[in-house]
Amino acid sequence: MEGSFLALTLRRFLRNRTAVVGGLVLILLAIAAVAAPFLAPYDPREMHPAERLSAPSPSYPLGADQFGRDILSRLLYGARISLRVGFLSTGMALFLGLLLGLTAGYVGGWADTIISRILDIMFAFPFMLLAVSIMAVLGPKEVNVIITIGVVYAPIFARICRGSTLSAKENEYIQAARLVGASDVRIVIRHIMPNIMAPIIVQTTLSLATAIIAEAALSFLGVGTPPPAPSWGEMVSRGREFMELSPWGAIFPAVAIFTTVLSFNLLGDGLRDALDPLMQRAS
Amino acid sequence: MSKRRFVSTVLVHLTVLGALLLAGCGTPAPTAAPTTPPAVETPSEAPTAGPFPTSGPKLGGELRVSLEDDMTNTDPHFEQAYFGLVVFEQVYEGLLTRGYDMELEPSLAESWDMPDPQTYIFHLRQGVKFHNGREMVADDVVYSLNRIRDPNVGSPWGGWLVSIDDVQATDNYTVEVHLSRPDATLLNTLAWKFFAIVPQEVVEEHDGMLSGVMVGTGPFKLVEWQPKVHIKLERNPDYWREGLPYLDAITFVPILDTTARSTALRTGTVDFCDNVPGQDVETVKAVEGMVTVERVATAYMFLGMNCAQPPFDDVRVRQAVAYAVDRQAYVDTVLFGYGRAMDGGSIPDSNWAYADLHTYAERDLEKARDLLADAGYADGLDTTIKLVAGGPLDEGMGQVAQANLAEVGINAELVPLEFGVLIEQFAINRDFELVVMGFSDFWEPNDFLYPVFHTGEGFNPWGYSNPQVDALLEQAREELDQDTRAELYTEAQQIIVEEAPLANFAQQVIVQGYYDYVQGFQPMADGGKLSFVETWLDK
Amino acid sequence: MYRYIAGRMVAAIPVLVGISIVVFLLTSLIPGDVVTVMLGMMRSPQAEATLRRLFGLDQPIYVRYLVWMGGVLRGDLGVSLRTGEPVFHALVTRFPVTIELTVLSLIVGLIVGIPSGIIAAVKQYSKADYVVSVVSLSGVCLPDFLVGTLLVLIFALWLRVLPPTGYVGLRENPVQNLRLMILPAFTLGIGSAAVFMRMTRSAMLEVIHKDYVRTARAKGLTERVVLLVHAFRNALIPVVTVVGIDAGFLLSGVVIVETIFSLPGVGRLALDSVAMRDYPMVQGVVLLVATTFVLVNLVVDILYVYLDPRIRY
Repeated sequence: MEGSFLALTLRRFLRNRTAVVGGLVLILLAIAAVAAPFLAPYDPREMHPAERLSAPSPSYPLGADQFGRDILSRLLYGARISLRVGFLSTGMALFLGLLLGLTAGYVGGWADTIISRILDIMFAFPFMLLAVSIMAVLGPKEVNVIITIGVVYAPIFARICRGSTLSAKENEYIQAARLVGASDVRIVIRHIMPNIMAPIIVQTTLSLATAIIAEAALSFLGVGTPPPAPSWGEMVSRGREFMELSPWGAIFPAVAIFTTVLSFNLLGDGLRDALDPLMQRAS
Repeated sequence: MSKRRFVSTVLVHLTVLGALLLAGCGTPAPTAAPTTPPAVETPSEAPTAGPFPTSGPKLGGELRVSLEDDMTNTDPHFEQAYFGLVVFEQVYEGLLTRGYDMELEPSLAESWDMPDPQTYIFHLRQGVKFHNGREMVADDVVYSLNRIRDPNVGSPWGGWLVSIDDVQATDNYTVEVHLSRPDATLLNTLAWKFFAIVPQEVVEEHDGMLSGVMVGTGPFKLVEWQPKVHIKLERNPDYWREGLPYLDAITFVPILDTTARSTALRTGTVDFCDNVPGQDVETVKAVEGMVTVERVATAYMFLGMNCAQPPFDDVRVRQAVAYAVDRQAYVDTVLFGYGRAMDGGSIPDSNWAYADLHTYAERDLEKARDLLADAGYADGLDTTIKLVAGGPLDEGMGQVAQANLAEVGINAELVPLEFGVLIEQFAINRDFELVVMGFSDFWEPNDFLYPVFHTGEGFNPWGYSNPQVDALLEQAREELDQDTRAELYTEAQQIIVEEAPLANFAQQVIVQGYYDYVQGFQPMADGGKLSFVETWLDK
Repeated sequence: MYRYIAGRMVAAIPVLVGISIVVFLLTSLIPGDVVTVMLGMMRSPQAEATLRRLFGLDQPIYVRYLVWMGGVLRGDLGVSLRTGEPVFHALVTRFPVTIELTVLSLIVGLIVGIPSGIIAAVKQYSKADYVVSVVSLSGVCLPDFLVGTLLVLIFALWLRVLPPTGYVGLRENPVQNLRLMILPAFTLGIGSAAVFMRMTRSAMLEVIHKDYVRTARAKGLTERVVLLVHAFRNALIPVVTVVGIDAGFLLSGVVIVETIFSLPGVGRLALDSVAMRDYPMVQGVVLLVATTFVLVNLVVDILYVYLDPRIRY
C-alpha cells in the first residue's frame, strides 16, 4: 500500500516545476557547502585591508568586504552555517514538537491540558525577546543559536502534531488495534505517525526557510553566530552599512538567502500539493 | 506548458536579482577612503565651509540633533554616558566649565582663590536661577558636592572627590573646600557636567534620585524625555548669560542604527548629526548646504589584557600582542580613515601631558613571535577576546585583532557579549583574557592614567600593578606645577607603554555634520561636548 | 456567547500568570542587574548595596515577584528602574505606535495577499498562478532589515518622496504620520502578504472543489457570484486564523523594523528594557503583549461564528 502512495506522491510532486527547481537549487547549495574548501579561492577570514570594498574582479570574483575578505569564499563557507543552523534548529523544533504534540494528542487528559497551556505561553511570548534573552543567558555560540531557534519554533510543530494526532486517534483502524491490545508505543509509531507525517513534512520545509531568516535577524541584533563566522545573516547585516559605497557585501549574501529561502518555500508548497490527499486525511 | 512555468520562475529570480543589483548601482562609488588621517584642526578655528551669515544672530527656532544613543539617567551624579553629557551641557552647570579650546573657564563660580595648596575658595555668581525659579546659592554647591561624596547615596563619581575633606558655605555666595592633600585634578573634575549643581528640594522630592527630572541652571530646560525616542528642551528665559540662548528649543533624537542616522541627516530630518559614521562622511559632505567639522577626539579603543593570570601575566606575551596588532588596518577598515593610530601612550598629542613615545609605530611580527617563543609559546596559544555585542567599532576591532594575532600564532576566539553580561564578567568577576574596550572624554591627564593603571582602581580590571607607576601617579596628582607634572607623566607612561597592559589601537576622528543654516556652533577641540548656547538658525 | 467569552478570559489568566513568571525567571537568569548596568565600570560595593536597596533588588526573587504581582492586582505596573518613567505611561505612549504599524501592515498584506491568492487559486497551475505565487512569496524570502534598507534607499534617498525615519503622533500631524509609516508598513506588509496569499490560495482551492460550489454552479449562478459569495466566505476561516496569528506576531513588537525606522514601538522598548535589566518595564510589556495576543485569539474565534454558521459556542 505504502509503496504506491509514495510513487503517486512523487509523480504529483514532479509535475510541479517550481518545486522541482527549488529542490534542485537546494541540492546544488548542499554540494557547494560541502565542497566549500575546494571551491573557495581564499580563507574566509583572511583580510586584505588594501583591497577592502573592492568590486567584483578577477582576484575577488564577487568583490571584497569592508575588511578585504573575499566575498565568494565567505559565501561558500556561509552556506555551511546557514544549512547547519537551518537543519539542526528545525530538527530540534521537530523533535520537541513531536514529543509534546504526540503526548498531548494521544495521551490526552491532564497531559494535554498542561502541554496546551505551555504551548499557549510560548506562542504568546514575543519571539525576539525570547530569542535575545536565551542568547544572553547561554552565550554567543552557533550551537546556542540553534537551540534558541529550535525552542522558539517547537510550539508550531507541537500544535500541528497535536491536531493531527487528535483526529488520527479517532481512526477506526486505531480503535481496533487498541481493542486487540496493541501497546501504545506500537500504535503511535506504527499507525499514528505515518498519518500525521504529511503536514509535518510540509511544515519542516517551511521552518527551514524561516530558520535561515531568523538567523539573519539574530545577526542583525548582534546575537547571531559570532563574527568572524561568515554567516549570510552576518554578512548582510554588516554589509548594509556600506550599501551605497560597495553593495556587493550585502547583495550577494542577500541573493543567497533569497534563493535558498525561496527554494525551501517552493519545495514546501510543492510537497503540500503533492501530499494533498494525505493532508485531507490527516487534518 | 511546463517550459513556460520554468522560464517564469527563472525570470522572477533574475528580476529580483536585477532589482537588488540595481539598488547597488545608484551613485557611483567614491574612491577608496583616505589612508592619511584628515588634518587636525587647530583649536577654536571656525568650522569649514558654509557661507557667512547674512545678519546677526536671530532669536527662535528649533534645532534637531541626532545622537548615537540616548542618555540613561537624568541624574548627573549618576549618569556616565557621553550622551548624558551632551544633554547635561545644555541643562546643567557646574562651578567651572571648559571652553572650546579645552581651557578651564568660570561658570557658576565667577572666580576662585587658592590661599594654600589644600584650600579652594569659590566665589559664586549672583542672581543665577534654577529652572524652578529659586536662586542658586552656596548651600546648593555644598549640597551637590556632598551628595556626590556621600557613600550612602552611591554616586559612582564619589571616588573622584576623595581628596575633599569638607565643603562649607562661608556666606551665601562663597564656598570653601578643604582638601586632605593637594589635588591638581580637582578643578578639572569640577568642570565635568557630572558634577553639576542641583537643588536639594528637587532631589528630596524625588526620593533621592533625579529620575526623569532635570532642574539645573543651564540655558535650556527639560520639557520631555521619552527614553530612546527623544529629548525635548526649551529655552530658559532666565538664563544668567545676557541674550542667550538664541534657540527656542532643541530636540535630541537618538538614532541607534548608523545607516539610519546618516540618512536622517542627508534628508534633512535632523539639522545636526553628532558622529557621522566614517563610511558615510563623503556622501554626507556631498549634500548641498552641508557643513562638516572633524576633530581628533579623545575617544580611543584598545585591547585590554588580564595581567593577573596566564598567559597575559607575562609581559612578553603582552608586548607580543602590542607588536602584532595592525592599528592602521583598524583605522582604515573600521574607522574608514577617520582615526589616528596610537603607537604609544593613552594621552593624545593635543594634551600637555603627551609623551612622545612611538614604541609600537612599526608592526613587528617577527619580534612578536620571538617574544612569544621566549615566553614559552613558540607553538602558539589559544585565547578569547571578549567584546560588546553589536558595538560597531567593537566588533570591527575585534575581528582585526583576531586576524592580526592569528599571524603570530595566537588563536583568539571572539566572544561578543551583551553589555550587562560583559560588565558582570569583565569588570566584576575579572573573568577575561583579552577584552575590547574604549574610553572617551578624558582631558585631565590624571584621568587617563590613575584610574586605569593605578593598583586597585576602578578602571583597572586588567589588574595592572606597578609600585613605581603608582608612586609617580600619586605624586603627579598632588603636584601643582604643570611642567613637573608633565615630566612625571612622561616617566609613568614610559613604564606603562613598555609593560603594555593595554594595546592601544586608535583615537577616533569625530565628524559632526550640520546644515549651513545652523550658525554659531563651535566644536570642542577634542570633538566632545556639544554646546548650543550660542547657536542660532539662519532661516 | 457571553459565557464563552467569560470562560475564555478566565482560562487566559493562568497563561498570563505563567508568562509573567517565565519572563521574570528568564530575565533574572541573565547575568547582571540594573545596578550592574547603571554603574558599569565605576562600581563600588557600597554604591551597589545602596542602589540595590533603593530598587528593592536586595530581596529574594520570589518576594520581588510577589511585590510586583501585588502591584499589578492593584492596577500599578510600577516604575522604570532606569528612567523613573511609570511603566503604564511608557506602554500607553508606545503601544499605539505598534498598533498603528500592525494595522497598516495588515492592510498592505491583505490588499496584496488576498487578491493574489484568489487569482492563483482560480487559475491554478496556469502561468498566472506561478508568477503570482512566486512573486508574493518573495516577501518572506528576504530579511526585514534588508527590505527596509532598500526601501529607504530608493524612496527616501534617491527619489526623496518619503522621510526615512522617525515618528509623529497621528493626532499631531496625520499626514506626516502616514508618510512616516508607509515604508515600515510595506516592509512588514509584504511578509504578511506572502502568508495571506498562500493561505487564501490553498483554502480557496479546497473550497472550490467542494460539493456545494458545484451545486451553486449547477443552479446557474454566474461564475463570479459563485466564487465570491460561497467559496470565499468559507475560505475565510483559515485565512482569518492566519491573519490573527500574524496580528499577534506584529503586535508583540517588531524590533528590527522599529530600529531601522526609529519607531518608538513596544518591540524596541522590550529589548532595551532587557538590556538595562529594567524588570518592571519588561514585565509590563510582556503582560501587555500576551494579553493582546489572548484578545486577538478570542476575536478570531468569535469571527468564526459569523463566518461559519455551523460553529457555535
